[in-house]
This record gives sequence, structure tokens and C-alpha cells, in this order.
Amino acid sequence: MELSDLQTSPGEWLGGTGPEADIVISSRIRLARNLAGYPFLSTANEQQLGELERMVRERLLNTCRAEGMSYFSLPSLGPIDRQFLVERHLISRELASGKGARGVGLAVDETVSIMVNEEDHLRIQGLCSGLQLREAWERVDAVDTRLESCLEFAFSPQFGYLTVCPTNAGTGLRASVMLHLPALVLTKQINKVKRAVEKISLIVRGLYGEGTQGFGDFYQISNQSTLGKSELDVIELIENVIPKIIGFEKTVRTNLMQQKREVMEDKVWRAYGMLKCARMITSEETMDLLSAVRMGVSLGIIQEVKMDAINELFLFTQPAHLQKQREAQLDETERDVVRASYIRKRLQQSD
Amino acid sequence: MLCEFCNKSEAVVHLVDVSNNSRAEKHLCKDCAASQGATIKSHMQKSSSSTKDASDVLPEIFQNLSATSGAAETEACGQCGTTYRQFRSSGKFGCPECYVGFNVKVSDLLEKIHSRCEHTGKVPSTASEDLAQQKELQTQQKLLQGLYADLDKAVNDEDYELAAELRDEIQRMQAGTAEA
Repeated sequence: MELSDLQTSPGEWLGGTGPEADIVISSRIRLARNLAGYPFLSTANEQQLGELERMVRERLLNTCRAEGMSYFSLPSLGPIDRQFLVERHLISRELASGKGARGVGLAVDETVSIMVNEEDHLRIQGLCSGLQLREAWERVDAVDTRLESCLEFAFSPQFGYLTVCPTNAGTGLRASVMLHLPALVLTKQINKVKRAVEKISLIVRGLYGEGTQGFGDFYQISNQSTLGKSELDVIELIENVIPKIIGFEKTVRTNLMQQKREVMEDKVWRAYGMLKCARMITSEETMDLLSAVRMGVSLGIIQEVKMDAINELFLFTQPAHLQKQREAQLDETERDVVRASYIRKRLQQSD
Repeated sequence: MLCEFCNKSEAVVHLVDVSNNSRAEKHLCKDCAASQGATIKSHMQKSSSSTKDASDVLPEIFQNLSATSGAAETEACGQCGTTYRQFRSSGKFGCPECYVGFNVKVSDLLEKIHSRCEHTGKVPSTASEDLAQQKELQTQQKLLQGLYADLDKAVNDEDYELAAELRDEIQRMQAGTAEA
């Protein structure tokens, strides 16, 4: 598989096919693993890093044939390709900007990605569309079990899987669900959700994880602690809270439609109008406007565009995706022009 | 009650500090409490920000931990050489051995982060075989101890027939363990 094979499709996880897909974008599970008998990356030298990467890559490709695994070495990828993988949530910003031997294994449908030499030796990630944490876990668990047969992971019966940062020790599992919550943001109630969720030891983050704000009204809910609770307990904890947040968002949407119908319709149609007419548009503005249109589609205010077209636009209008489509490096102003033209074309197609 | 700080005025401010499973009380007068105002304020800030991103919480935990454990800053992990000071400033271990390499109790640290310090959940199949073997050995040893006790009792009771049976049983079991 070549990276360019990915760019024409949005990846299975953005297909908008999963349960509760109008509010839940995706469900993600990641496992942190390290090899026994090797230093962690924080102290490994260049030679050890190279040795580790070679060995993991070889075993990965051998054991994950069923997933159609391809491997990409990060130093051999240009900055646009790296950013492209970050935008698709297949690698972290840390892996993209890191140094030394490192890479990523990708399943052909993009539902499993395995980062090598990120913070830990391995970060195994499963990504599914909609609310499907269990499915994501099953995929990751299967890959982890197969890798275990050819790699010995650092493990202690008391502390579980040993990780570079003690905040990941134990299961090494981070489960997160990405939600689109425009009505809660609009009515300034998102902080209520944050506080309630934090009370049960879960965290709320922005679109690209730690330290990012809620771009386009997207929020990720994930677990904080990784020790002392089994994988399925953590998943259940999140699974139980998500329907409540979905319910809250839906109630607020219904109330807004009953009490401020014109205001809502105006907001949605204006956003749609801007997207259909703009000649230059930044990434941030695109996200904001798409977020309003997405809510409008979900509420039936706009019927001429399909949800999956909007989902795709969120991804395909990101800087690296635009540059890959054009097969050229573009500066910010050029990107704004190309972005606006791309959006106009896509929205005309769906008319 | 008089103020613990100046021992002059009546104590009107009562502080209770619960940390590391111990409880410390302070009784202060109005003036002394005001002069220690900064302390009171900082306590409140700590409790109000109990759930932040894990990376924000670490420095705070380290501060509390090193104050109580007396771990030497220069102490280093025997395997990778990472010092406790390095671990404290980066929040990153140097190798799997660091989990047992420092004098500071990693279990205390993990308990502060996760509220628990015993792993439950997936176990690698290789490790689970080891664990199963260990458990089996332990049960066999318990069985053997029981048989020896029965044997002693049989000899004391002069029940030599039973004693002989028990002796054979013990021999069979020991031979089995030796083979395994």
C-alpha cells in the first residue's frame, strides 16, 4: 500500500456508519507496550532505537498479514505526508515531529495503526466509526495477542504493562470517544459536561488530543487512570456516560429548535452559504462553518447535503490533505484559495 | 484552646490536612491564620484541581512524594542509570527496571496517580503461563505440608498403615514435582 492510496477515501472510521454516528464521530482504543530487556526510548541510544525499529517492523509485518499491514518509516516521509497521517489520526503529532528511527504500521482499512518508537516502543491503536469502543478493543486486543507471540513485553504481575510514563502503567489502555457537541458549545453548557465527566475520573480533550481546544465543536472523552481497572471496566465506564452526553446534546438541540428556530436556521444556512460562496477560507473558519452545517444536516434543516459528504470535508480540507490532492506544497494563502474552491466544488456536487 | 503558633490568643481557625493516609490538625488564632494565609490558599487550589491531564498532575505528586519518602535525588537505577532527579523532572522512567530500581516506593506513586496500585486486566500469555506454574507449585507445596502434618499425626497415633500410605503419597508427589 502507498500513502497516496489513502487520500481518495476518508478511512472506515469517518464513514459515519457506526452507532450514534450523528453525534459520535469515532471510538478509539490505544495500548502502550514496551519490550522487555530493552531500555525505554527516554534512555535508548541511536543504535538501540534502530535495532528496535527494525525488529518490531519485521515481526509486525509477519504477524499482521491478515490486516494487510503496511509499514512506513517516518524519516523517509516528507513533512506533508507526516501531517497527512496526523490529520487522519493514524499517528500522533509527537511521532510526526520526533527524531530518530520510528515508524507506523497501518492496516489496509486504517482501523488499526501501530506506532513504533513513539513515547513507548509500541502504541497499538484501533479506530472505529461511531460508538463502537468494544469493536475497537477487540481489534487491538487481537493484534496485541498476536504480537505477544513474537515479542516479549515488559510486564509485572503487580504493575501490569510497564510504560515510560507511570500515568500509562497497568493496562496501558486509553479509550476515547470523539463527540460533535455544537449545541452544548452554543449554549455554553460544555463546561457542565466537562465537570460532570471529570468527577468520574474521565478527561475531556480537543480534536487532536492533549492540549488542543475543541476545534469545530469536537471533544474527546477518555479515561485518565490505567491501573487497577480491567480493559472492559474502563470501556464500560465510558460506554455508560456517552449516552447521557448524547441525550444532553439532543435535548438542547430540540429546545433550541422549539424556542429559537429562526436563529438556528439562520446560523446553519449562513454557514452553508459562506462555504458555498467563499473564495478564500482558513482551516479554522472551515471547521466552525462545517460544524454548524453538520448540526443542520442532523436536524433536517439542510437536506440537500449528506452527512458523509460533510464528514469528508472536515478531513479533506485540512492543510496536508489539500496539498496531497494538489500534489504541491502550498503556502497558507494558496491553501485558503484551494480550500475554498474545493469546498465549492464538493457542495455543488451534492446539490 | 490557645493558638498553636503564638500561644497567646484563642484559636479560632482549625485546619485539618489529610495526606498520605495521615491526619494533621492545626489550631490557629485569627492573626496567625492570616499570616499563614498563603498556605491555606494553596491547599484550596490543590483540592479544586483534582482532575487535570495526567501530565499536569505529576509534578504535584512528585513534590508530595519526595517530601515524605526521603528518596535521594542522586540515586540511580542499577540497570539504565536514570537518576531519581531525572525521573522527577521528566516524569519518564528509563527502563522497565526503574519500576523497582528506586528507593521511592513506585507503588505509592502509582496509587497517587491511579488511586490503585494492583494491575487487573490483560496478562501476556507468556506471563500467564509463568503465573499459572507458580500458583500450581504453591498449591502443591500446601498439599505436601498438609500430608506431612497428617503423617506426623498418624505416627503419633501409631496408625502405621495410614502412615505408610501417606509416605507413599508424599513420595509420589515429590517425584512429580521434580519431573516438572
